[in-house]
Amino acid sequence: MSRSVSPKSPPALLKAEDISKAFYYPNLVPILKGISLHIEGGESLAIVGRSGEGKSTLLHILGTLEEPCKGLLFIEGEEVNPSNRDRLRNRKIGFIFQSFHLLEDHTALENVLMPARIARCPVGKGSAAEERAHVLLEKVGLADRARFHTKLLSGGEKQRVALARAMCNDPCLIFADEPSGNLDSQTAQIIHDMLLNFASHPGKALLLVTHNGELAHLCSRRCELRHGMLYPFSRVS
Amino acid sequence: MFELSIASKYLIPRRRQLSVSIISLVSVLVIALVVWLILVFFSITHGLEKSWVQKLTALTAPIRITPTEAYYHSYYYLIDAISEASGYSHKTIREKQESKETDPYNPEIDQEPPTDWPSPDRHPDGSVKDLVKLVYASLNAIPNLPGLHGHDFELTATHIKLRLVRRSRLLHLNHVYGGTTESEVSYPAYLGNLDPDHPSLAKTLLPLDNRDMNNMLDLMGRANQIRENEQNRIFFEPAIFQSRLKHFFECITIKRLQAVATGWTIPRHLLPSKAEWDVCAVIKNEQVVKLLVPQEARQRPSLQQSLEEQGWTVSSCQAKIDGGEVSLLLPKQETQTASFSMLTLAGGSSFTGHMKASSLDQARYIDDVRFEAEIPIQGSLLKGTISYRGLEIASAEIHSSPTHRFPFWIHRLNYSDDTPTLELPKDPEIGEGILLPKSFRDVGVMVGDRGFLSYLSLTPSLLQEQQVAVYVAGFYDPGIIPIGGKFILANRQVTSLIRSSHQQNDNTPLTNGINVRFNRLEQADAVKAQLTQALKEKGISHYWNIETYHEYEFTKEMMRELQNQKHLFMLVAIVMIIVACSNIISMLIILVNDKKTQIGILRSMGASSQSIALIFALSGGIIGCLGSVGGIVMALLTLHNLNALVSFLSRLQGHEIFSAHLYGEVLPHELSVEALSFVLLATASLSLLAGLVPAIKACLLRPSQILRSSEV
Repeated sequence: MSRSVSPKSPPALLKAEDISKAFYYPNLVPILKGISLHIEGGESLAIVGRSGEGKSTLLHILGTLEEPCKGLLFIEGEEVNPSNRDRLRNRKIGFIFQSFHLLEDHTALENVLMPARIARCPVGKGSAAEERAHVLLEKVGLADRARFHTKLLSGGEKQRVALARAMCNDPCLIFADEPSGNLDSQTAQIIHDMLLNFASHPGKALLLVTHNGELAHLCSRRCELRHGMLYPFSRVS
Repeated sequence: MFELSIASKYLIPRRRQLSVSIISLVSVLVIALVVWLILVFFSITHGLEKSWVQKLTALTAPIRITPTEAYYHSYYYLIDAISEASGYSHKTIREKQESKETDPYNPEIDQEPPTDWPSPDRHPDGSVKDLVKLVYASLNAIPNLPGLHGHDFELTATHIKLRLVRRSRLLHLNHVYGGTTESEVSYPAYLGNLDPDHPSLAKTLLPLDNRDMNNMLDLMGRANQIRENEQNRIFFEPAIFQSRLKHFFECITIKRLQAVATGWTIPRHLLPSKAEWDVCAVIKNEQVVKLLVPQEARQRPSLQQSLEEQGWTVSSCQAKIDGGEVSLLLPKQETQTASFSMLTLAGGSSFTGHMKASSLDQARYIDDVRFEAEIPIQGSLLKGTISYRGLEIASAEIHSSPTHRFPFWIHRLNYSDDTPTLELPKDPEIGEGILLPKSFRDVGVMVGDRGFLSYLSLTPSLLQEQQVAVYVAGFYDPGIIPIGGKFILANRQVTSLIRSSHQQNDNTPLTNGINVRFNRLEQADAVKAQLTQALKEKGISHYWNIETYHEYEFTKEMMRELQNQKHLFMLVAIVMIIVACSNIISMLIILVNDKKTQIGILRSMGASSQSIALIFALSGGIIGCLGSVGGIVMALLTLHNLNALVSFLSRLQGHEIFSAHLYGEVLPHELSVEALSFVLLATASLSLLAGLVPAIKACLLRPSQILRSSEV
């Protein structure tokens, strides 16, 4: 029997209603079955589950990277539709991936500034966006690596650049897909602290997908995706 | 604009993207090559077309107004034949224009017009319409047309005979400076009147060269020296000869002289006191009969070869000059101290020479003119005064100042491009100056050559051949129009005289008419429409036929052919650009596949699918632009060095690759603005279009799928 996790009080930073997704392999295989979800400011939500359960698919749908077959999605009360999807993704959401996904032929600073450039903000020397990028790089401890091409950085450094990039346009939501999957425990700890620190601010929230139970326990809420539905993590033994 | 910076990053060659780099480099190169080829080809053909049209309109005009059959059967034209006031003869268009009487008929004196003649066209007030003056009035009423003027033309047939007297170029023992050869050229030709104010004609004139100047001077001198057994020769009285000579040297200043082809005898007083020169000894019956001195010792083998080709026995030896005595060191022989006081400087050897103006005052012959010369021969410098005998002009400056008069050749009285005001001179002693097409120069005619224009004149009893004495005053390039090679231009009086003597029923449309000239050829159709409308309003349009230069009977085919070829080449050019740009498609498809992950990353940051499409469209555009710029630079360099390139290719092939007769002496080398705009527009739009296919492919990629598949 499916049970959805429903928020107690509005306004929600993210509200998903009855999200369903199915793929043809070549037969119709339902992946997500009517998931509803609320995330409020200051919340950090960890979604756990076995491989192939559709955690990343859910993350991409919630992050507007993929369209659900059915269901509605609201970000800060604004319904996501094809005309505002790219803008909302650019302004309200930051992504962090297990494989970092940096632009390798760009410097760390250029990577961090890219969301601002996509938003058509001025990014020249002395601009507000550039100053913010430097502040973010300093926050993640990479002020001295700003002009480095990202291909020259270590895995931990790359993920910190990715984190700074995710925060470039001051989004309200950060979606992290196994953010420390490719990192050693010490570096992973730094990334976790940063992510949780972001979510501790009012009006900001973190949604992460992980196999890491330790990280999941650090989040304010935990859910498990099983058979296309979300269950509170406490029910899992 | 982040799309542009991403696109340029994609195109910068990187080691990891070798395939993309190579293909993009090849794409740029192919486009550059195509742009280069199209620009060079179109610039040359455009330039050629422009020069052909310019030459065509130099002989004719952008628009021609010719009388129709109705004109020749009109009362206005016919009435002159029975009017005493018109001398009982038909009038030309110019005569009609200059005539004060529109209707010369006087019923009291003149016979009654035949009943089958048409009645005159009349204005509402009853006066007779002046068909010619109304045309000129319509012309003058056309507004805002720079350089517009109507000029009547007359065209007739004639026969030209020219006598060519030339100095022999072969060594002759009896004639120190060789004999003369004579030949005659005789052609049927068209004769038209020269429009002195025609700007295009001035541009087709061929400049005077040394051969022309030498020919004029030679003929001037020769006329006074050879008198026996010659008919039709013009001999000048000493005073006239001297005045002509002075006049000639007022017009030009000789800078350098050269020995005539058979060589120049070095005057004894110029010989150095001591010198040893390499010479060629010409031997006949085992006797040395002539010593030829090359200007430089290294020229001796070629001099010897040329003498041997003329059939002489030649021996290379050394001449020793000591105190005016010349001794010869022949191989295997003892030193000869012979009476070789005469040394001959090889033909073509040139040196500086400045005319002594005072010598002109006493000159009875051309050889009396004296020069101060400095002659370098094999390390010795001979200085002194010499006579003109055995010499000719190697280089001279033609005075372009309008204060000088040029009686001998066609010249401009005004150096403005719009109104050059040409003067075709009339020589009181020789005859009328005529302007010949350059085909005459190709058969050996030079400026100064004399002859006759002959025509048949009908006298009451018989048909008699008449002649007008003429001389060649210049050449022009008629381009490629069919009648160009036979079209002689003369002053109006000559054309009118010959035309009027022809039978009066010679009323073919091209024999008399009005040339309408203006500066901008592209306005020809608009001017024709305005003129036609104006003549219609005046009710005289059926008397006149108005044609633009692409409608003339003798150019119609050629103009159509030029247009067809232009369209064909345009089509080929577009196909070439399409092929070049299709390279961009394959390169960008590889690039899209290569950059899939980056597309996903950019989408995750909020880049829209349109932005992704734009990145790849811009990549195509950048390749197109780079190729175009490269091609334009290459084309500019090629056009700048076109003549050197053509002569190199000609040398490589062993013959001229572009016939001077068809394409002119120099190929056009100005970049065609039309071609440039065409190429820029075509490459920019086609490369953008080529970028569109991969761009659509890129924007259809699903970001979540890319990101998931690229996760480790």
